Amino acid sequence: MRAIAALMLALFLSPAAAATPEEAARAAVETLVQATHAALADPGLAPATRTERLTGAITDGFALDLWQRFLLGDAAAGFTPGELARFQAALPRYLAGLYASRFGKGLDRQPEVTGTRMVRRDILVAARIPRSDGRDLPVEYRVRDIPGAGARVIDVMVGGTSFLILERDEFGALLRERGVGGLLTHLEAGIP
Amino acid sequence: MAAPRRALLALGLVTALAIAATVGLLRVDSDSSRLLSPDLPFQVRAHGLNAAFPDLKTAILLVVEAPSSDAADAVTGALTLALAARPELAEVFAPSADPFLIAHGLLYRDTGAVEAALTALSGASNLLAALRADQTVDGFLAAVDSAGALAAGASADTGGLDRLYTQAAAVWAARRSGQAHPFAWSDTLGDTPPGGVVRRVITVQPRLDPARLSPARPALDAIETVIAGLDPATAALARVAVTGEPALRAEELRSVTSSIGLSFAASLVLVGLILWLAMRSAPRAGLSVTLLVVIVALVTGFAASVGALNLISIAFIVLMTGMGEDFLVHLLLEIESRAEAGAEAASAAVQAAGHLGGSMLLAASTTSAAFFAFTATDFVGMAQLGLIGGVGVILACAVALTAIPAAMAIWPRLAIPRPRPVARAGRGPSLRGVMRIGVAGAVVALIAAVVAREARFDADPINLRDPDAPSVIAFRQIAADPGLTPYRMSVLVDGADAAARTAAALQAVPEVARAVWIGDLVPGDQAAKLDLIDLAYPSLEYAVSGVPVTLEAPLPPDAVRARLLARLTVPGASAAAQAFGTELARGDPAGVEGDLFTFFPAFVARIGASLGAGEVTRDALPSPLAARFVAADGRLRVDVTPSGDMGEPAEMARFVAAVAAVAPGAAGAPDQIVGAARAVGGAMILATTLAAIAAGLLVWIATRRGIELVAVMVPLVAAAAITAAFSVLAGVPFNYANIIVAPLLIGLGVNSGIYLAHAGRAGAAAAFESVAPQSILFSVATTIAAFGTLGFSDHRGTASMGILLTVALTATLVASFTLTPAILALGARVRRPGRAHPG
Repeated sequence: MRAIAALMLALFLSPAAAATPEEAARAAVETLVQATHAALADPGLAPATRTERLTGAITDGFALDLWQRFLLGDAAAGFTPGELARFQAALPRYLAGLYASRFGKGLDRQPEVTGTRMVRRDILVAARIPRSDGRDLPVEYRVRDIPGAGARVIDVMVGGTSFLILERDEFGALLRERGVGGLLTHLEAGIP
Repeated sequence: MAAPRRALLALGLVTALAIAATVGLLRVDSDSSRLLSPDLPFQVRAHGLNAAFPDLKTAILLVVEAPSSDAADAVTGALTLALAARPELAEVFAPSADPFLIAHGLLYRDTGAVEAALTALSGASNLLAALRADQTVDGFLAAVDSAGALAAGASADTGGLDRLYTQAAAVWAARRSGQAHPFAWSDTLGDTPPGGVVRRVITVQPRLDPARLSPARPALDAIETVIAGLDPATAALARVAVTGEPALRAEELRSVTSSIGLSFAASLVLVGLILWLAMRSAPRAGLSVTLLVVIVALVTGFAASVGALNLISIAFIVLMTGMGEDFLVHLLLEIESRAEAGAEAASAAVQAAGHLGGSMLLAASTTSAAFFAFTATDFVGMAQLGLIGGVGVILACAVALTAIPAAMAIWPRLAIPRPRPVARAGRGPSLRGVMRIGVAGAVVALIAAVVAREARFDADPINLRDPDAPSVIAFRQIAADPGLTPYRMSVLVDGADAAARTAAALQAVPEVARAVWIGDLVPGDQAAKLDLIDLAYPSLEYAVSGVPVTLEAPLPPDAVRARLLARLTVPGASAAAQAFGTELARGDPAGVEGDLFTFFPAFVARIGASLGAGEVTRDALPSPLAARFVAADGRLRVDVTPSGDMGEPAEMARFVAAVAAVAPGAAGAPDQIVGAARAVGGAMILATTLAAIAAGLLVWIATRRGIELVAVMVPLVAAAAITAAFSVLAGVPFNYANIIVAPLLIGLGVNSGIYLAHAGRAGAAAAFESVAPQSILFSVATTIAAFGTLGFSDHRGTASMGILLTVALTATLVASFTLTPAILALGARVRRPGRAHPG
């Protein structure tokens, strides 16, 4: 009897169980932007540690399997298991670098999540990311409920422009021009 | 005196009856597909296809051509809307204006193209949002400046921006030179670079009015009204042409009749002049013309009672004018010759009829037998002409032999000879001269016979029509477009499996560009494409309804312009940026703002429509589209388009054979054209062989002289070879219009040979000293004058008829004059070796 009561209490207290999809998506994005801001804004962090923390935030917040699927598309079939493993290992760090290059400039203020809305089966979470000129950059995080993983970011958009689509285009061009090896080299070099 | 009057009165009454029959019964069927026996295999296949898909043959096509996709779509949309409101039209369908196909258009492109288009749109979504918010020149420049700044900041590919700069520069430059160049948004922001001609087709099913000569006329008039009613700004965006079978037929009728008046007037003057030269008297020329009209009226009455005339049998008028004039001229000149020798008018007529009557009857018998030979073929059009011509020749001979003596008896003055403006030949050439001329003629005929083997029959109706007619120009444009070509074949099958198998088998054939069944209209790889659309969905939504992001505080328009100008013209900027910068520096000409945004709302609306894209199933396809592939009885049509040039007969034949090898029941225009050419070729060989045998037999029975038979038949063959050789060398193939030369050549050729052989019995030179050469010359010249002017017609078929008639009749004349006397002379030498003619 005590065990059942404990289980019910645990379920009641669990945010995932209680939250609506919008709330879960919002919570996921809030976690992501706070974690990335913390990693980027802390002047005391060594560059390697900053990158590590940022990569961790991306790994936790992004649906990396989906990113991989969309970024590579049918080209994934041309990867050897070893190449695929290299890709999967390099992707979070690459995305972390990309994230930092786009949103790591106005760090004196906290980012702010401003709203959510449904788009087909996903939820768009709007946020304002501070910029170095004092203005805010409106960013939308596309969040999908991934079975077994919960709400995860599957795309980031600024002004309607999808990071995922832009990167897919760039990866496709690299694969066409330099092959799998060229793409992996690019990925492992990261965004400076 | 009473008998001649009764004869003329009776002739008048019969002529009146014939005219009444003509008025009451005459009908014309202009469908060229019914010129050949319906039992021929390709006709059976065509009938099966037409029965299953009747709309394919009656469709009217509007071809819209514009310099950009946006312009083509704007005009197509406006036309489709207006046409749909017309009660004269049963159905209007344009794929590019159909809401379902617009919404699902991305799914019809290959996956790579879908990805490229969505990547471009995603990258441009903020630009589009900004442009939606401010559709002014300043708004455009601010959006472009912002997009440029973003691209520079992100080190992104500026290829898309370069296309935008190029298009903007063209808008500015065009306006500066006083012209409009609306910004082509779809081509610029899509993945297809602007340039070239964009073609759209609207398919219209007319409500046919069977009571009219042209059943689609009300629909065609309605379409013309709609096109004329387009607002001038929209109309200026594109060229619109109307084609399809109903439009082609209507314009064909117009082109046939447009120059007929001038042609008729020229013919009348020329015929009058030649008859005056021949007869030396206006009354005799008048009698000749009157009796010719009587002959044509009598034969027309008979023709009307035979049944509906077709495109070939209607040419009996040409045939009877030539044959009728032949009998009249020969007899009238013989009468004049007798009168010159001192005979009284009535007596001269009786003497002439007695002298020439045998030859005339033999000529009439042989010619009508030759014409009747055409009735034994599958070439229904020519068979009907053979029947009418065979009866007509007998009627013409009877009229000449009864009416002329009767007229001479009633009006003796008709026979009075007058001073001759053209001297008779008088003394003929020497025997050596006759032989030399004969050898020359034989050499020409032999060379012609070699060339003539390349002669062909062109059964493609489009080649008969005026090449400058708008419907023909439009037809040729779509014929060159593999997706739109009317030269397509169809295979009818039961069930989806059979359709898929047949399409796959045909697609593997090199002569086939595409083989499509309704299953192919359901896009492939939909899951991947829908994934891509889903991925880009927020970007597309943002483009059509998002609030633009600005990365900086708004600047005054002048400052934005100055900054953009600086970015465009900075050293190292792309050529496209430099070009736009140059234009922008020269200021904004009036009208630029309108041109920038003419197509913008429609472009955004199309993006918005694509947000509704979902899985396409066969049942969801628009019904006008599905109806082209599914018959009322459930059978499925596999549509097959050629990879080769269907303007080349050999390629068309290869295409038909290749398709038939996979699908023996395939039908369609190429099958009909190739089948008709073969059927007509076979029919003409059979008919001319039978005609030659019949004519030869009759000549042999009448004369019992082998040399006369040869003297009649050899020039005929030579004239046919020369005509066919001309057809090859001049690139004027035989067709449904000019094939009339075959029976006319046989008729006049046999007649000329008989008259010359008859006159040459006394010796080869005697043939030239008789009235026969002059009669033949004037008879042929009159026919050429009557119909040679058709060579100037805009209608290519009619023109080719005029040209080939002139050539064939001239060849008949030349062959008769060169070969007949030489053969007779040769025959005389063989019979009497060592004796030469004194001439």
